[in-house]
Amino acid sequence: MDEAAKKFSSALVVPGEEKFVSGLKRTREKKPRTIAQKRAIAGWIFISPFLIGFIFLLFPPIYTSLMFAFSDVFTASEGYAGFTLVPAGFKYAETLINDLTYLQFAGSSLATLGLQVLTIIIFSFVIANILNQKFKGRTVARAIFFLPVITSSAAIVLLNAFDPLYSTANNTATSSADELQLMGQILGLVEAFKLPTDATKTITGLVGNVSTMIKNSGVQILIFLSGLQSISPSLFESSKIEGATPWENFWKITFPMISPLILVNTVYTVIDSLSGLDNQLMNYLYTKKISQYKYSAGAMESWAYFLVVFAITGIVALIISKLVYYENE
Amino acid sequence: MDIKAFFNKLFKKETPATAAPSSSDENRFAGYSNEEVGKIILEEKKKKARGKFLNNKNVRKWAWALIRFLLILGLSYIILYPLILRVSVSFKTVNDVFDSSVVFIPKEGTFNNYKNFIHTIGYPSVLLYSCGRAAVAGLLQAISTLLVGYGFARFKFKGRGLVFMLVMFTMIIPTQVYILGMYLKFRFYNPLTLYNLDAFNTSGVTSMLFGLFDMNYSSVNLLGLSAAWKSAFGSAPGPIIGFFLDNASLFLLSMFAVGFKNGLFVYMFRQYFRGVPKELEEAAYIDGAGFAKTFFKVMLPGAVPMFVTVFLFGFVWTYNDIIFTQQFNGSSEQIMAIVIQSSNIVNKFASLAGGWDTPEVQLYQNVGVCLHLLPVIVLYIFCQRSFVQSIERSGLVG
Repeated sequence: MDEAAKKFSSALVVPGEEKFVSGLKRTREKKPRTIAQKRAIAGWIFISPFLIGFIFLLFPPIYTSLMFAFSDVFTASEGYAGFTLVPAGFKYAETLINDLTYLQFAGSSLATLGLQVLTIIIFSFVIANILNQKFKGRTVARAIFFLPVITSSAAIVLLNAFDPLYSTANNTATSSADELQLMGQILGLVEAFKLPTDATKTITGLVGNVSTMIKNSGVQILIFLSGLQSISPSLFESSKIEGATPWENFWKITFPMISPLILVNTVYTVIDSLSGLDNQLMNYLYTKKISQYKYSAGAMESWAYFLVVFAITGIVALIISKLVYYENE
Repeated sequence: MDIKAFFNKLFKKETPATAAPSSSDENRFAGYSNEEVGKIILEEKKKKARGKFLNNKNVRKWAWALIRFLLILGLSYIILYPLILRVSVSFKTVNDVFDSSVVFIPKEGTFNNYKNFIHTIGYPSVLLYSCGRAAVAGLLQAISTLLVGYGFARFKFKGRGLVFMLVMFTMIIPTQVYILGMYLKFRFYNPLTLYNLDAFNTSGVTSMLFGLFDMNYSSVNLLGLSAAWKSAFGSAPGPIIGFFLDNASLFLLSMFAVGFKNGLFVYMFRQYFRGVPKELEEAAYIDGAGFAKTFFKVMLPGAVPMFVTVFLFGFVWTYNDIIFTQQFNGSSEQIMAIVIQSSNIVNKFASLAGGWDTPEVQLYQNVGVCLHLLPVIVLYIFCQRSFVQSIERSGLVG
C-alpha cells in the first residue's frame, strides 16, 4: 500500500465504524488511538458544561442536604448568617415513625399511585392516537392539548386555592345542581343493574377529575405523539396490502412499536406524581424545612421518601422493560 | 419475505373451524402475486360485510369523525375553560360578579381592574424584567443542554454511561430535597471547600487551607453580588449589570446544564441527535471539517426546531417557577410569579380598594393571573410551528 492510500484510510477510521473502511486495508493496528482519542476528547469537551455544573454547583448542595439528615443543625449566633452541623448519627430517623402527617401523606401518595399512573398512561395514549389521525383543525387541537404544559404554574395553583371570587364564578358557570342530579341518575342506574358500587364510584371519580388528568398528561401525550410520528408508514402500507384491518394494525404494529415509550412515560409519570410540584407531601416537607426550621427532620424525611420513590421507579422500570419490544434487537 | 406464512399467522383466529384446512388455503393463492392475494382478501371481506349498516365504510368513517370531533371539542373546552373564565372575570365589575345571570360576558364591563393592577405594580417594568430573566435562562439552558446532548449522542468514550446516569439522577431528584443546601452553598460559595461541611459555618472554628489563608472568610455570596459591587465600587450597579448580578445563581445553573428539569432537556437532545443519519457527519469529516465545524455547520441547522422547543420549556418553567425564585430572589418585586402572590402587593391592593375583604382585591389578583400568562401564551403561539415540527421529527423516541 502506498503512502497516500495509507493516509487516506487512516483518516477514514471512525471507531465503531470499521466496516466503513473494509474496502481498504485496516490501519487501526498502526495508528489506532489517534482518532478514537480525539473523538473521546471531543466528547468530554461537549459534555464538560454538565460535568462542571454537577461537580461545582449541583452536587455540593445535594451532599449538604444529605448530611443535614444525620446532623444536629444549629443556627449561628446573631450577626452571622451561618449554620453549624454537629454529627448526630441516626437520631432523626425516629421522626420517620413519629410524624403522623408525613406518614399519612406518604401513604396516600403511594396508595393512589397505581390507579393514577394507569389512567394517565391509557388516557395520553388514546389522545395521542387521536391527535395523530388526519382531520381538519388538527394543528389547533394539538396546540390546545399542549397548552396545560405551558400554563400550569405553581403560583396560579396556590392562588386558585384561596380565591373565593374564582370559585364563585366557577360555580355559576357549572351549576352544581345539574351535577348532583346527574350523579343521582347514574347511581340509580347502578342500583337498577346491580353493578358494583365501588367500581362505579372509582370511575365517576376519575371522570370528575378529568381536568386534573389532562393537566398531568401533557408531556406524556407529547412523547407518545412523537413516537407515533416515527413509525414508518411503509409498515402500515404492507400490512394493508395483506388485508389487515385497522384493529389488527393497532395491536400488531402500533402497540409493539410504541412500547419503549410506554416505559419512558410510566417512569416519568411515577416520578411526576410522587415528587411533582403539586404533590401534598413535597409541599409539606418544603414548609417543614424552610418555614418551621426543622432542617434535620425535614431532610431525613425527604431523603427517605426520595429513596422510596427511587426504588419504586426502579422496580416499575424493571417490570415494564421485560415487556418492551425493541425493533433492533 | 414469506408473505403467505405471515398471512396465515395473522388470520389464524378468523379461519372458521369448519373451513377447509390451511393447505388448500395456500393452494388457493398459488398462481397469484402478493398484491393480488391482498386484493382478493379485501374483496372477500367486503362481500362478507355488505348489507350490514354499521360495516358500511362511509358510515363508519363519519361516525368516527363525529365521535372524535365531540371528544376533542369537549376536552378542549375543559382545558380552555379556566382560562376563558379568568379572562371574563377580569373584565367584570363587582356587580357583574355577584349577578347570577352573568356567566361569561359581563353586563357592565370595565377596564379598571387592568388599569389599577398595571398602575400598582408597574407592569411594563415587571414584564420586561421577568421575561428577560426567563429568556436569558432559557437560552443558556438550551445552548448548554444542546452541547451536552450532542456529546452524549455522538461520541464514544469511557465513562459515558456513568455520566449519563448522573444526568438521569438530576432528572429524578426533586428540587425541594436540596434547595436549602443550595441556598447555603451559594450564600457562602467557595469552590475549594464545596464538600467541607464547615464551609458555611462563619462562627465556628476556622479551617485553614495550606496554612495560607482563612477559608471561612473567603467565600463569595452569590446571592448578594449587587451589594458586593456597591461596597467595592461605591455605587450601585447599572440596570443591566445589576440584572445579571441579581440573577447570577440562576444563570450559572443554566449555563452549566444543571437548572430546573435540564436532565430532561439533555435527554431530548440526545435522543434527537441519535436519530440523525450518521452519513451526514461522516461526509463532513471526510471533507476535512473538524468536530466543531461539523457540529455548527452540519448538525446544528437541523436541530433548530428542537432547540426552540427546549428554549420554550426553559423559558416557561423559569418564568412559572416559585420555589427556586422565592429562595434565591425572595424579596424581588420585579418577578411576576412572585408579584401575583406577594402579600406586599395585596396590601397595596387593599389600600387602593379601601379594605382587606373587598372583592376588588381578588379582582386585581385575577388580573394578575391573566397578565402573568399573557407573555407565555404569546410566546407559545410564536413557537407553536417549530414546536409541533420538532415533535414530528421525533426527538423523543426511545
